[in-house]
Amino acid sequence: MDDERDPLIDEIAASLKAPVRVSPELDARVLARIRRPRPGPLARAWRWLAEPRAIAVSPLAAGGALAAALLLAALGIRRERAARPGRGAAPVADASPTAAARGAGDARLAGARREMGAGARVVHFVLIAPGASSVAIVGDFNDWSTTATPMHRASEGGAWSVSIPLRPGRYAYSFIVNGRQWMPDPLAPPAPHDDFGKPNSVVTVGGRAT
Amino acid sequence: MSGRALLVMAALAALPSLARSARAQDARLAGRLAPAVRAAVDAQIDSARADRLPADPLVLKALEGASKGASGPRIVAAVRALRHDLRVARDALGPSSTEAELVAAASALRAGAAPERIERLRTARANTPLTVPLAVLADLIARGVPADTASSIIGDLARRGARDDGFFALRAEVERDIMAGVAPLGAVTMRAREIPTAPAGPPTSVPPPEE
Repeated sequence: MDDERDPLIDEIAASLKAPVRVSPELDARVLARIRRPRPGPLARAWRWLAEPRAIAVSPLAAGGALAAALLLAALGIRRERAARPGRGAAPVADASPTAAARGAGDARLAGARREMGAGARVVHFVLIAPGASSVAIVGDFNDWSTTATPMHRASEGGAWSVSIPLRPGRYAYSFIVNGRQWMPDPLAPPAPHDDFGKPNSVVTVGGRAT
Repeated sequence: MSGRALLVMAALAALPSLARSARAQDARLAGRLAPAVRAAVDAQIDSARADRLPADPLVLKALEGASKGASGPRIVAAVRALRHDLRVARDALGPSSTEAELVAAASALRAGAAPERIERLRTARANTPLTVPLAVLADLIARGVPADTASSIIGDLARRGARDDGFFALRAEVERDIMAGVAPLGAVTMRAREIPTAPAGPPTSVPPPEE
């Protein structure tokens, strides 16, 4: 067997077994790398946070955390929906009790609502009109007066809003932008008929009239 | 009989018509309509009151036309058309129907719902306000759902005890679907199945299901 061994293999083996000659400077370079300065407290804190580790959590705690996260997400979505009307927002009164509660913090509105009876609800109207200098709402609830119900600029993003207490019923309405441009609510149901060439939207307040 | 007594009798005889005229003189119309237009609108309001129909929706219709700068004949025509719709609505819903119900029903009629369907809705939901189902019916038709289909679905939901919240949810979901590109008919058919209804109660006498 030994006779059949290839001399080339022996040569390679001998080469591999030979001690490796290392430059004397290598040790110094390696040690210099190892002796890095101690990181500061912020770096240590970041490393502590970023370092993966196993955490033991009971199923009960995990379930509670998940439920809280879902609740927060749901609340966030509701707020986001209310605040992102596109160019307009469907009035929210017909959405039922939650809508009424949105205006409940305003004492004036709450008083007006009480005067109108237990069935009244506060309806929050919003229109996004960034370039507008004024926006008013007109409809069955204000005798179609073009000046009775100005809307208020709600944000720098061009949102105009107003809250109006309404009894149960169905109301036609429209917006007037800059005092002359009639405009239906882009996201509210359109009135099925247009008697005067300027289409309306409609809002319906549910419940029993008192 | 003295002349003075005759005068008093004449005045008493004229009282009812004077009272009717005074009622028709809605203060909100003052200054908003030309005299001739106002007289024509007042006549419509008088007729509505004689028919025991609510006058307020007619006043509001006239005010809407005035605010929008419509011509007199157009305002009078709109008021007359609404009075007609209110009368048909009242005939369908019955004399005890509320003003809100009549306004919603008139809107559904104008959208294209048949009076018989509205009458059936009253039968299906006798002791509960119909304002919301009627309003949603009008809204669905206005969004492009065929009137017959919309009437059937609303009638069916009402018969099965759906609440106002359910009708609002149906409308909202259908609108969302339509804006996402779903055909109105498909949207309402699909979404109606998701609306919760009251559990079936004891058998009662109800009209046959609508098609």
